[in-house]
Amino acid sequence: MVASRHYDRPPITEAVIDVKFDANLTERERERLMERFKGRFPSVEERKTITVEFGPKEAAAKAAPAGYKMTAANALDLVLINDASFGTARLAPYDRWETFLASAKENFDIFSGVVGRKIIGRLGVRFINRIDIPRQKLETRAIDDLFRLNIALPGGMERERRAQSFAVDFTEATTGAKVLLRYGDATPALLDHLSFNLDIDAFWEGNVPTKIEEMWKSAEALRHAKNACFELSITDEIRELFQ
Amino acid sequence: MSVSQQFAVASPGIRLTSRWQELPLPHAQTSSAPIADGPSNSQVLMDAQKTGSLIQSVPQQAGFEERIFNALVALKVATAQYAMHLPPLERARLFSRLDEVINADDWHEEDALPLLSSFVNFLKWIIFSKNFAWSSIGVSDEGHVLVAWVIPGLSLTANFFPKNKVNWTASVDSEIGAAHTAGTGTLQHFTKQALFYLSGGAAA
Repeated sequence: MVASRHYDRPPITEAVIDVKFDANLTERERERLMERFKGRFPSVEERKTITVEFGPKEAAAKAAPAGYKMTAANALDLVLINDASFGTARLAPYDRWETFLASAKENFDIFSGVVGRKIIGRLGVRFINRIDIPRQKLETRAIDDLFRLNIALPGGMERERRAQSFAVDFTEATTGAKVLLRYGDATPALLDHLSFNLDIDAFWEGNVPTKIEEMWKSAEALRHAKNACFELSITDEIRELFQ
Repeated sequence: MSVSQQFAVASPGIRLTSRWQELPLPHAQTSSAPIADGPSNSQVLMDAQKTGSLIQSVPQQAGFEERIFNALVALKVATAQYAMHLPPLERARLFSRLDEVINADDWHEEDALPLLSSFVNFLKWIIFSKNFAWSSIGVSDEGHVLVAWVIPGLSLTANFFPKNKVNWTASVDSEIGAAHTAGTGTLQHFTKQALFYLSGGAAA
């Protein structure tokens, strides 16, 4: 198994532990959850599904409530109340898994207290990393030398690569967890840097343990899956940027 | 803004785009993320007989105090995107100063709320220049972030625009008298100017 590492300045911009249910939450349930969490997450954004229907002569748009994005006063911790899912999120600076998981457990206990137990269809652990690389470094090094991810085009096809991004849905080798990995160029976040996103979403789908304790234990395996994917995707030169 | 104005109509076929939704996989469900999944560049390509939908986050209808608080939180959330490049003490100082400046007691309803893009440019600048010696932060009538550096013999101010532009002024006291300078330039250009003044170059 690939060893997890602790970084002083991890490039994680968003971390999410997301629980999806087999059935949608009702609008009333979402409202009750919002009221319950508002004390700890006072900045509330309402999520709306905006549907546009195009007819032969005219287009009509309608908006329907789709949940809430709620942010704590520290602007780091969030809860996401969606149509059919509930998530705990943490923005940078990310601290450590144990703290994050404890927060997710606490929020989920509150969630269950408000709306009762739901049948869980998917449990996901998603970490979005944005890796900022000085332009100067890329004057002498190709990006494919820094990441171990690449799209290989047939020989003789390309002269110069300007940008790339891809998504892969696969089963992680050591844990058997499903992983949706997305990698590619991002809008440069810093001056004189290029930015790359490495978005790793490890999840169980359809086989989430029904006992809550076991479910959280299975989240640990997702953590190992996403860590393995991260470590295998980067080189030491990338690691140096956030150590 | 009406709902229809959020969409740009282009060529036939429906496509709903956000940062990562542009990388679709058949049947792949993702874990919801608070920022990456937000539609940054919502776009619907139109085709008669078809229907498209997207999820958009909008602040709840809020009173004055809540709007101020939400604006403050939005600036702090933006700071989180740069947290890995900021010393923890600097981040704490920024938050503390933002708390002092953006609060319901000192804000008037007609005052423009700070523009996120202006604040982000300030963050980019301090990371690029590695200069964390600013003295105070304010907000202009247009919502631009204003920053001042005050040290003996020098007063430097900067107005960070939403695009890559800074208006700055410098007042220098020296043995041969006072001098005032003003300029406009990119963030990179302002770095050279600011570091020149802050290192005492103008007083020499």
